[in-house]
Amino acid sequence: MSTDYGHTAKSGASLDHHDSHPHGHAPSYLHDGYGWRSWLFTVDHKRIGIMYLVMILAFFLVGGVLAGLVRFNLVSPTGALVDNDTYNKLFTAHGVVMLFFVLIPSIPGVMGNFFVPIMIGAKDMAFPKLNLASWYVWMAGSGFAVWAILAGGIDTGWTLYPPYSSRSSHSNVVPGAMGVFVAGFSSIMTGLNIIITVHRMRAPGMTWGRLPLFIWATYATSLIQVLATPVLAIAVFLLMIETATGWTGNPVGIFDPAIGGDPILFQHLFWFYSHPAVYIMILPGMGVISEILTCFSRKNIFGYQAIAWSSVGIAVVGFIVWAHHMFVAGISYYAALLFSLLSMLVAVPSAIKVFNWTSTLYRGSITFQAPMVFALGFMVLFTIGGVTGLFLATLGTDIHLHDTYFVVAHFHFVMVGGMVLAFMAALHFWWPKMTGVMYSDFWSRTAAITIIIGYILTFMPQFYLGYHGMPRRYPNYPPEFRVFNVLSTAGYTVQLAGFLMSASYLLVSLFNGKKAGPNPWGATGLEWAIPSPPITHNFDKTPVVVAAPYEYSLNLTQTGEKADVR
Amino acid sequence: MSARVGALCGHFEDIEQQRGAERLGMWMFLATEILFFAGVFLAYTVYRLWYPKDFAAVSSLLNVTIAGINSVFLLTSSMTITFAIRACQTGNNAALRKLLLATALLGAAFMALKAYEYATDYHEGLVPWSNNFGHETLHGHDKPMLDVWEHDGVSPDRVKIFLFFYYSMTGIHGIHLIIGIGVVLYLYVRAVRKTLTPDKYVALETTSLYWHLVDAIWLFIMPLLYLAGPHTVHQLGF
Amino acid sequence: MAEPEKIPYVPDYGKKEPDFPTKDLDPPGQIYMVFFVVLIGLFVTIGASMAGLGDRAIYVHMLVSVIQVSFVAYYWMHLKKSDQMTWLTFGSAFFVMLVLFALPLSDFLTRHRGGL
Repeated sequence: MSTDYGHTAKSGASLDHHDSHPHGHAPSYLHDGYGWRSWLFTVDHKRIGIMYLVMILAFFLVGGVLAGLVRFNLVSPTGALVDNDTYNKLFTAHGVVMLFFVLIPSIPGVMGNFFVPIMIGAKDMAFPKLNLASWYVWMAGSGFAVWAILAGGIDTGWTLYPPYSSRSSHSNVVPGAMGVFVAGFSSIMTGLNIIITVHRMRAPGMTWGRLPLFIWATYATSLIQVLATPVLAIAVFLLMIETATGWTGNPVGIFDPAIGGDPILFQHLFWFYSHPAVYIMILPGMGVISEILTCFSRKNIFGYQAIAWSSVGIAVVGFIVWAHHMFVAGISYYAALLFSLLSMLVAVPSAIKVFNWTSTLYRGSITFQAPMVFALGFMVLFTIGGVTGLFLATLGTDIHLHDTYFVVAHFHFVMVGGMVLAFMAALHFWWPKMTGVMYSDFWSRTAAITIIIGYILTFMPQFYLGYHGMPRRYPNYPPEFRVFNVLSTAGYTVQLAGFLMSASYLLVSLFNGKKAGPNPWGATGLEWAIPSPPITHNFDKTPVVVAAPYEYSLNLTQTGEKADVR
Repeated sequence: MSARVGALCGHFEDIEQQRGAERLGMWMFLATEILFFAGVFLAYTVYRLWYPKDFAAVSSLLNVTIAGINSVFLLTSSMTITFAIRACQTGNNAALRKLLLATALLGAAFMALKAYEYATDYHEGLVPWSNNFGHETLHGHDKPMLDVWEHDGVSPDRVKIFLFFYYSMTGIHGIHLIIGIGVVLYLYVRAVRKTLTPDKYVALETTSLYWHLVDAIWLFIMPLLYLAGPHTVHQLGF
Repeated sequence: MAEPEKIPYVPDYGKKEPDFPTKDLDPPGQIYMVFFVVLIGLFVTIGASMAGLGDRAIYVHMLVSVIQVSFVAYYWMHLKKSDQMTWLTFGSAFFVMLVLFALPLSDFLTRHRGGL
């Protein structure tokens, strides 16, 4: 067994890693090695998190532009901007990009990668090279998706239902499906890494009962990522083969009703993943909210155990409810009854969280910086989105509401009003830690309020539209719905202004921002005990955890110091 | 990896923590593979429940001998890779090299026989998306298969669904096996270069976990696809 | 407390227990035993398809496969000496697979009795 330490002075954490700066003060991870090679071949989880962040923001921009095109087309009852076929391709691309390339990788890929090791007191993820590979695989998947869009798009809707997608569509289903398939592997790799890291690499004293709720949430998310994504992989894979046999002139497929196949089988396999996928999207956001609400109300979390276990509960129950997306597809009545009942159950753990968060706020010392504004917005909008989900879980009302704008409004409330706001909250909360600089307090709060107002204006009218029967994915609608569509589009422009505002002050802060100390918010987690930005190895010495998280009333961080603003 | 001392990577505290993490990581990955195949097994189950007669009819045409020989190849390779872990742990490099090579060769033999099988399937008109589907007359029948099926009340469309499963399931399994062979060969090269030291035996253990899973999946695929219909002892002869 | 000359994060092998890779060797007899069980299972399952069982053959096939995979998993894949987490991982995958089978089949098997 060799005890040769073999250090040479190379750059920081890279594939050819040797410790640089073995003595003396280590540089921050941003300065530990320069040049594109030190970034593209890095195995430092923080740099990988930043790489995810840059690409997520880029895809969010693409998805947002697509959303704008959809909304602007809808200002006229007969389609103002594009023809119907292009409209189909626009909303499909919007869905695919936003779901697979923004929402699913967002918090796990950025804040998960960046903060999971730090919050548990580890030096890196369990498998750093796998982490880097997950980013590259994600880029490969996005390459396929971009190819599909540039080659003319897909017109099937993001759900790719056969037999339309495999037999009739004649659009770029295979590259698009391939993009989804490959991106799924990235999701599995990230999830696997997080699970093993949380199990095997916690610092001394970091028991399961002292884990920050962000870790519980990200852990539950990773469970879903690992167990659900493979089923999407097989569904999409079988669809691709089926589509490809069509090119030979003798089409064969197991979802093809022409030869006795069942399209609903695809739907079962697809939604078996895609429903847990929405919990992949929201759970990390919920974890972030738990972190932020405690910090900005200077109060311990109310019901730590309840929130922690409800994350796991959402993950588990989320696996058994998927066919509520298929109530009118042709499944048997008995299965529909079963799934409707099960879908009611999944609301319970989410509601538990909302009650506990509210109790945390009660009698707290609340301040309204940007992360808190986003978090409060999340609470209101997610709650609205969640309760409207109950209308859709109820079999009877779903017959009326399925495939209408009511569904569109519901999922945007939870995904945008919920998850995107949570992502913005997380970005604003941890920005000083990741970058070492602070952004403008005034502009950030203004942007948060603008986004929330714009959001409500965009999606509230859509509940009305859906309830009164406007179908989703239709470019044309009866003239009496015009007012609501225009209001919705106006809301889009307000949101756009808000997001552009955010982009501006965040970019400005990178160049002109005030330098941030280690703990600008006075929070208690392990990530606030290290410098901003952190050094490559995160900690000078392995931290020893002595306190539960969120001991704000005792003014105690997890390592036993004072939780003061520094 | 970060700074290494022997097998130990710098971000782990000790070697047992690292080994535990690597084993658990591979088991998590195997969990994803189990669910991947479970999807196609579900699909197969549904259609087999709906079309038992058609599935049995075409399954009887598949070559059980090749399937049996392939099963033996795969089982033996699973055994050799398990012995290879022992050889690595005890530092027996000569045995390690032989066992790893044997594993890879047995896997390659499986794929070679499978390629031969696919070729004969094509010549027998059992490829559903090809133009000669059902037009060949097979051993033991006096008419092309399409006519035989019409006579027996078997629907060619349902036969196509079965064959879709046959090619996709054995195909995905084969892709997984090829990847496994690649990894085993990589380990073989490391063993030849003597860089696969006893303290790094976990690399072998995690590879063997993957290999055993591929074997386990075959243990389910084989009876489901090849033995869905009745067979006779005759059929083993060719 | 690390001395100032010591390079941080590199564990000192001298301080910990020495590593014994041969700690957990599989007994060769056990490895052969599994091989023979699975091989016998192969013959049983092929034989069952020739025994004229018809529709019942599938039960024999699946039973044999389950036994074979159980032996492979328990002995060759070292589940026997694995920790709780590994069993939990295997169990969760198995549980989710059961859900994947049971719930869609609840749809497919009740179809002919009426749809929406």
